[in-house]
Order: sequence, then C-alpha cells, then structure tokens
Amino acid sequence: MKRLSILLLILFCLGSGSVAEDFRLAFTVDLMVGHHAWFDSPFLVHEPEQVVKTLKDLTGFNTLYVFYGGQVAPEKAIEIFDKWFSAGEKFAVEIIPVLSLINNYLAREKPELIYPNSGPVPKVDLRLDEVKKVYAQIVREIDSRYAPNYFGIFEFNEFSAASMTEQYPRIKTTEALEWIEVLGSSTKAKKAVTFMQPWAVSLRWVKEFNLASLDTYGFIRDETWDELASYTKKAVNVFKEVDGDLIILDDYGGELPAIRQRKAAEILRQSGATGFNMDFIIISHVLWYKRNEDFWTDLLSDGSYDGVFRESFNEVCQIYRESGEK
Amino acid sequence: MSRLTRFVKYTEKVVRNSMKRLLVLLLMVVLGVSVSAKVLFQDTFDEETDDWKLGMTLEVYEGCLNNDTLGLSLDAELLGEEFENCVIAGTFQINEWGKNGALRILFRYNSLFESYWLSFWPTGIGIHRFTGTWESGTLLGSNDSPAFGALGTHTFKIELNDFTFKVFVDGKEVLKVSDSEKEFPVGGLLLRFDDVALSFDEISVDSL
Repeated sequence: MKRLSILLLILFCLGSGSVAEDFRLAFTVDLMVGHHAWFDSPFLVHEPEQVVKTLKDLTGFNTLYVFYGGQVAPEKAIEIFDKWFSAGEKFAVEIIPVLSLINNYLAREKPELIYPNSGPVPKVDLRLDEVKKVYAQIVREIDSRYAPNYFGIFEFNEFSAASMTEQYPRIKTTEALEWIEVLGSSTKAKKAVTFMQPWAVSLRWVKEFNLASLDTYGFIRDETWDELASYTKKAVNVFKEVDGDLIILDDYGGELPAIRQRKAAEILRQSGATGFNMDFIIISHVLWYKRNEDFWTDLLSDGSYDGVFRESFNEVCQIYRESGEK
Repeated sequence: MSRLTRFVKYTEKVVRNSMKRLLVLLLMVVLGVSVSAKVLFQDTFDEETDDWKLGMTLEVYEGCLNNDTLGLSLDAELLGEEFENCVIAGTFQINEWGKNGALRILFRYNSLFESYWLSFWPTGIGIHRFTGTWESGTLLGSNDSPAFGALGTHTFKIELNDFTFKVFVDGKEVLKVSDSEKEFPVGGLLLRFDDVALSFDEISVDSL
C-alpha cells in the first residue's frame, strides 16, 4: 500500500507537471508569409513548414498567430491553414488562427460587402449578414478540421483608428459584441484578441476574450516603462493570458535598440504577462518598404536573419531561448 | 323689477361669467401650451445611435454612455443640433478621477475653443468662455465644493437665458454667471471626458 501511495504520488506530480502551461513564446505571421501589412499577397510566398522549423530551431518558440486578412478566397485560405496546422503539429507549436476585417479578396469579388468608406485598406462591413455568414463558415471549417485551442480576432484597430482618421465607420459596441458572438459560437476554441491597443483594455467588448496579445509599440519606442507596466497589469486583471510584443523597429524603418526588448521583456514578466510575441507582419513590411530588405528570404535561406535589425532581432531570439529554458 | 326680469338678468350674468371663465380657461390652455418646455433633444443611451460622434473609447452599453479609460481626452459630440436659449440637463456617475480629471459640458459649442465650458472637477465647478485658443479661456465664474465632483451619481441642469447661465447640481442652484461679451448666442453640445472614468445615464435639452 505504501509503495502504491508513493507511486500514485509520483504519477500525480508528473501529471500535474505535464499540464502546467508553458510561458507563451509567440510570433505573428501573415498566412501567406508576405511582406505587406495589409495582406495583399495572393499567393503563398514561403512554405509554412520551413517557417515553423526555422523559428523553432532558432528560438524554441511554442505559439504562432497566423493572420487571414482576405489574401485569397476563404476556401483557399483553409487549405493554406492546413499547412500551418500540420507544421504546428510536427514542431509542437500551437497555431492560433486570427481573422482580420481587412479583405482584399472580397473587395475584388464582392465589393458590396466592404464598408463604403473604409479608405485605402478594404475592410468588410461586419454588420452585414453575408459577411457574418462567410466568416462564421471560415471559423467552423477551421474548428472542425484542426480544433484550435484559441481562435483570434484582430483587434479592431479599425475601431479606434476609425474615429481618428474618419476613413471608416465606427464599430459600435453592440456590433462588435455581435460579431464576437457570431464567430465565437462557430468554434469550441477560446477567444484571443491581437494586437490590442492600450486604450482598448477597458472596453466592454474586449472583455469577451481569454487571451490578449498587447500592442506595446509606443512604450518600447518611447521607453515609457512605467506605462508599459501599468498597461500590462491592467490587462492581466482582465484576461486569463496576456502576451506582449517585443517589437524591434519603428514604423519608419528605425531600429529600436536591443536593450529595449530586454527591458520590455523584464517588465512584461514582472507585471504578470504570460508570454511574449513578435510581429513579423510589421517587421517584414517595414524592412521591405523602408529598407529594401526581404526579411523572410534572408531568414529562411540560412536560418538566421542578417539584415539591418539583426542585433535587436537576435536579442529577442535569445530572450525566447532563455525563457524556454526556465 | 319683476321676477322674470331678474331671472333673465341672472341667467345673462351666469352665461356671461361662464363665457368669461371659458375664455380664461381657453387662454390658460393656449398660454400653457405655449410656455411649457419643448423637448429639443433627449437620449437615455438605451442604444448607440448615430446622433453622437463618439471618441475612441467611449461606448454605449447597459443604458449608459461609458468611459472607463483614464489619461485621455474623449469627446461625445452631438451632431447636427444647435440650440439658443434652452435647458440642458442630465444624470451622470463619476467612477474615478485621473490626475488631471475634468468632466466638461461644452454648450453653445461652435468648435472646441469657440464655446462655453461648464467643468466639473474633484474640487468644484466653473464656467469658461473660449474664443479661439486655449489661452483665450476666461473664467466667468466658479463654485468650489468637493460635493459637486464627489464619486457617485449627480444630476445637473444648465439654464441658458440669453447670456446668463444658471447651473443646478443635484437639484440646487450653485452657480449663476453672465457673459458680458455676449460671444456665442447659439451652438451645439459636446461632452468631454478629460481623464475621468464616468458614465452618463441620460441627457436632454428642452426649450427654456
């Protein structure tokens, strides 16, 4: 009996260790591995398996947010998601599919589904039944095929940017809640929101999410560390899981020095974040358009990025490796 | 005077008096209708309408116009309405003041710095007139009392009678000011949440 008890105790300890959640070490990519922040690559630029393997070897990361922004037709997107989920399974990386309101495909094929004044970046009008139907179907398909743990919604940057730029109708709280309900009821997955803007943390509709990936850009750019801590702590009180972006560059092609990602990582951890993230969508966009660099080709050709922001990039990789060892 | 004549005269008097009363009654009804306040605008925030242009973190839910974010200046601008003499009234709940907290009710609003500002602070209330820039701000009058800005629910009413403005908080008149410059006879309405977590239950504008 004594031996059995000890055995059971050992098994219990082992079991509880295996279900403990890892610190989330995430990256964010465009479904097509393109280099445009508004998802205008209509074909797969690099193979998902190569992307996942390279990043795994380099950092030991465990989570990948994959964005659908209407690059291709929904049916085609689901086929491409298949490649991501297969790669995720092979390299022990959790895939979080994320849907954006940006949709170049529907803008071409069904312009009546786009907000009439959505400016240079076409965004679907989430009030329309047909839009809800199309997106719910994407969610259902992905859910039934791959059963993701989380399903993500791109923070309606539109929600806040709308009222600032006046290029886009404001999304009302009731409309946002209805949209989340429509998508959420089409999956068993928990809900994630990314990249959540600092001012959004108190909004009613974001409280529907379990996981938030924080947009930390302004704090790392301006080195406003107290504000980053305050924002993270607020988010930690709202969401079960919180990760924060260790962004390495500014929007204009300037590098954010490596010491800042180190500092941001430290603050995020101290403030209760449960993970880190790094947004390759903006990195590849800025490098392509501001520095004439092809980030993905550089990284995937030999497994290391050797471009102008290598110091900051490598620092984040090092932070990930250290975090994975803890 | 025969009984018959007296009866006829009495009847005539009764009829005359009745007519008089009827006329007075009719006059009172007419006057009553014309002097009773007319609702010019009303919102109980049961749902978000397109009447307002809302700043980015302002939300309408659970029957209120809400802001839970500190550190920002956020406006709710009533679109397409202009008022002259009127009574603006409402109910709001202050949940938290930020370091630079203020609730502003901009009336006879023509632009941010071309209007009158009724401000609630943690320490009291005041009315400013702005004529183009922040520096142009002139305090027309104020009343210091922490009661007006205490956390919790308050009612307010502003009576705009030409260029004399009376402010009532929680049912009591607390401030009366006049603008000798007679700057803005007409304008719209804007609610400004400056670094304050606050919700509006209702707001109305009635004719004076």
